[in-house]
Amino acid sequence: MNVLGVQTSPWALAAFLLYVIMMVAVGLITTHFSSRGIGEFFLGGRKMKSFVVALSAVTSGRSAWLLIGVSGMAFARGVSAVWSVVGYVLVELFMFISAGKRLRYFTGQKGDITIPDYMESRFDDHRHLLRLVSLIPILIFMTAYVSAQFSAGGKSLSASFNVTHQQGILITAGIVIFYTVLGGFLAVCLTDMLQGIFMIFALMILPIIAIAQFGGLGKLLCSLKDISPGYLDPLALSVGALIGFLGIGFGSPGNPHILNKYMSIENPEKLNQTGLIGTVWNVLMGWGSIFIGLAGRAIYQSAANLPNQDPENVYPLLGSQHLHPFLFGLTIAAIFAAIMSTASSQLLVASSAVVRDAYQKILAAGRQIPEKRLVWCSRLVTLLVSVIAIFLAAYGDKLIFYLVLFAWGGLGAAFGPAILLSLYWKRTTREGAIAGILVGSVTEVVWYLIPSLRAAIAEYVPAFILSFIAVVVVSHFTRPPERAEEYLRYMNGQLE
Amino acid sequence: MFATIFALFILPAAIILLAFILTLNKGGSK
Repeated sequence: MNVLGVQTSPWALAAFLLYVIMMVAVGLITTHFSSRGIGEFFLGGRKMKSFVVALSAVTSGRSAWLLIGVSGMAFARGVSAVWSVVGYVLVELFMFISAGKRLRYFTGQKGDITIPDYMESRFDDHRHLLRLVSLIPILIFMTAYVSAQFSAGGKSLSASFNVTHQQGILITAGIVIFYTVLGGFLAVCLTDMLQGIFMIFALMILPIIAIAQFGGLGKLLCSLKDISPGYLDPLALSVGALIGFLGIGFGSPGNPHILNKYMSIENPEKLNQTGLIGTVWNVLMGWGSIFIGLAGRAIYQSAANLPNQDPENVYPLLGSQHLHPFLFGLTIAAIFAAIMSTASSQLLVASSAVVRDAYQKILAAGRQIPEKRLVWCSRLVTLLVSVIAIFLAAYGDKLIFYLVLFAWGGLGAAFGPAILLSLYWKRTTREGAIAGILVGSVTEVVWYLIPSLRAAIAEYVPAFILSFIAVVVVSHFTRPPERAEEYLRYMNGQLE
Repeated sequence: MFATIFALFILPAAIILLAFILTLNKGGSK
């Protein structure tokens, strides 16, 4: 169902193909570097530059939700939608300049390349219990997440071109698989960077042109004032909704596909300036999406005037009616950029959970496996995880819906408190971390399943808080690792 | 109207300013 008309415009098609060619080229260019070893394939050999890390960390954390979901929310509820971006922008600023830096120093010193690697090293867990407890939810949620991105790509492609949803899934997956399997982490980061440029371009140019064509900002705000009394009021929402919006930020410290970006920077001290770049990007993209929703509401007045009466269609419709076809093609490419940047980062994390955490560190522990073989093994597993994700996207819609529902907040609640406390509090213990992972995961699901609780406040907020309490309480009653003080010195940059 | 201007313009500018200040404060963020 080609509702957006990309295929009918050669300009728009050219813009989209330009994007695809760039992604494929990055995959080819990075193949050689990523073949050197597993550290290169899964963490870019810790050689990433500041600008690349900044854009990669923020774009891999933002899926099509930012372009489609946030603009739709702003269209429907008005200025109060702004709180949905404030929480994660602030949390990620803190992660860049403080927590991420500590994580990078420690993991660099210990040679850790995955989050389960970090958990095992930080707590001297030679029995691999923590690695096992971490890798299972990471593998399940990341695969489900990849699958959801493929499905979203399929839907967007079928809305833009004359292809079916399933053909769209295969095209989206094909592009992501191509550059991720060949180029590993370096390809993922470089494509993230390019995708971040596509996204910011679309999220800035579209509201600016739409507002200018409407008659300017003053006229826009006057027009919006008439829609409803609370539409322009940022506080026209319940306390529960406000906390729920801000609490979206609780996902950032526990999602491994964002955390490993901080771990990959070449110079940890550069994470300060990386934080500034990342925050500017996050702010411009977030508020750009809000302005798209507001401009769309002023122009179209009601969701009844949007395709399928769906507020989430405001972004593509605004693009198709207010931009030159080539620029419109770029805004459609930006949707795929958001989808693919998230999918490829998650795909690599899922694959690393199998190859690095399950195979190299548990099943083949103590055996010397040649680096080249590990890289080929990683490529094969990345391909295998992709095939599972494609299958789930095509045939397991309901299962994916539930897994993804819990993925962002669930990973945040399960791992966020344990990781944050382990980075700052020397008393954090292995048992405390395990308790936090279990309490966070269970609360996330149970809270969601009780409608009265869910209506009061979004599940990821209490899940994060209870997980935090669980880590603190259990750590108090168990023994911290003997080298905890030394480890915290590593995190401060006092390396051996 | 001030609340609207705050949410749409002052808040994002303040966050970028905060990031800028924290970036300058290199030593204090370890």
